Amino acid sequence: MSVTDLLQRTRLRPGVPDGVPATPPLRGRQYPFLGLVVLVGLFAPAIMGGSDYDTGVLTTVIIHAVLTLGLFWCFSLGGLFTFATYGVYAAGAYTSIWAANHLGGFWSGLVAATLIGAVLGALITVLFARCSMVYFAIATMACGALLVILFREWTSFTGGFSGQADIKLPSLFGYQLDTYVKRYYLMFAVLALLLLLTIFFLRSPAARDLQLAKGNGPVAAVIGLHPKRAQSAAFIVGCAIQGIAGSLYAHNTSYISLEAFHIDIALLVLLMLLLGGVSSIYGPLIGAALLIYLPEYLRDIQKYSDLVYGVAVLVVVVAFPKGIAGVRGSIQKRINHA
Amino acid sequence: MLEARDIRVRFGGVVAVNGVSLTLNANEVVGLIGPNGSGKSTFINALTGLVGAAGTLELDGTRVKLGVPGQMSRLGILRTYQTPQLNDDMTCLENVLTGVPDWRLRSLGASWTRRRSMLKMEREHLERAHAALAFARLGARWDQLAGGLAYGERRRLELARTYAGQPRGLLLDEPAAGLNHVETSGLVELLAEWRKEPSGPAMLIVEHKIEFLEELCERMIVLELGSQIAQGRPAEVWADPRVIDAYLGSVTIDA
Repeated sequence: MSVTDLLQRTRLRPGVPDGVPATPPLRGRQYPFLGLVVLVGLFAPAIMGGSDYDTGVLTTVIIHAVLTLGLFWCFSLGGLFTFATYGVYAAGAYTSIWAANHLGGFWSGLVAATLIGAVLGALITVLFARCSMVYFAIATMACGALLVILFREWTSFTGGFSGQADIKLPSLFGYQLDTYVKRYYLMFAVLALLLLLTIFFLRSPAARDLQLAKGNGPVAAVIGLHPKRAQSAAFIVGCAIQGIAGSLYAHNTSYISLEAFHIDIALLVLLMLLLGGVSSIYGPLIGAALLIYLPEYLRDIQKYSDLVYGVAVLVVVVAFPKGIAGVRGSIQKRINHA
Repeated sequence: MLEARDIRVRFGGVVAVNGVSLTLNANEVVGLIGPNGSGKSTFINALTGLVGAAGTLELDGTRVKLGVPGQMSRLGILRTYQTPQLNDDMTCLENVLTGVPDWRLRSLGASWTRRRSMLKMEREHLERAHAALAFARLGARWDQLAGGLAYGERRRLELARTYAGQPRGLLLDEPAAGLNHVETSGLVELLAEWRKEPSGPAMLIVEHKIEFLEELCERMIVLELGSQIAQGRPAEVWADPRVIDAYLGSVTIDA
């Protein structure tokens, strides 16, 4: 029985086998999810309250969602861990401010921040290509620290700890985005676009090849794929996204200082990804929303907030190893086993 | 077709493969046997670039660089492993799709900028993958996770992945290891069937199961401690005293 016989026997229409659903990379409900996110995002300022403070919290969620999406690319997709988040975030922010002032507005700043993120990501992957998992993670942490030290000393560029106040507001077709709500919508649009690009990637054969490259590197190499190259590409995209987060953060305020870029951010972002769900595109958004809003709601029981926070993290990590996005799967698995 | 000359592999002070040569002609099936630790798997690993090696390797007269994985695949020589190497978190179909040797439009950039052509190509690959699964008698299990398969099915899934690659040559590293009698004869049947196809590949089979080899091989090569000690038709090889020594050990009786 040859291939052609088989094809004739099963009567394949060009491309689509009879009775067989869509191609593997096209599974999942990512587009409906994105639709839901857009819907919620559009009305979020109205739902969560209209004060500058409320909007500020919302934008913080968006910025952290973008940062976590970057980690999702580096770690969940590329299999390379990064603690350089805070350094790349800072680099994105300062580069964006500089480019906006010298090259023509917020948009050139955003592009410059994306590029600097990508360049830093490329440098890290080239420099530490031979490091294994844990050592790579430590190396990235050192890179983050080095970047922050660089920005502290390079005061003409960053203003150091005394800060930088010469920041351009974003504008769209000459229309100044001069309120927090307007800027929220800009950031939200950027996040939605990044999610769309991520979904495009997930729904492609490249994602499948990357999964094999990440999990079974030598086998993938023998098959003829380029595992290291594919992993590096995902890492570079992740760092570029974290650069974008820096740009968004910088142009939303009229003043930034180095205090904003602390290593705590790298840990927070990791926690967001773990809680939200490492293996799901829903993860970064869920994690960011949860970890930004939880402390807000826990403020009434401030005395116990750390305790509640700690227990919540433990419960999720132990009971739902795939994070909140994987709760349904985890519960289903338990039911099936019982 | 495939010509390996004087392949040598050293691990530190140990010489794992010591100047082994092999010629594999189109559509030929060659068995590679030898006691445990005689360098059979290392030899295949050397040919596919997984371990660094010295010597020359030619495919239809073109030199292939040793020590670089992926070279052989790109020239149409595929392999399986001693334990099936699959991604357990992917479905059977996805595992097979990774083996389709057409890497155009499978990049990150293509997923953003050339979606239409990419999806069209994906559908073509899908046909190949389904045909390969049907060949390996796994057609109905295409959407199950590879991690949930039984051992024998994993073996066949790995074979399906190489089938989707439509290789000219196939290197099989103990394909029947861990299979029971029924599964083994099923596998023999599958390989024999594949061979009879017009585009059936040449095969190099590392195996311990004698009945497996006798049914498929025209020629056998015997390794011991990294060196070739015998070769020829199966019956000749089994009668060779050195082979008997290597497998069963020899006893000298002092009269």
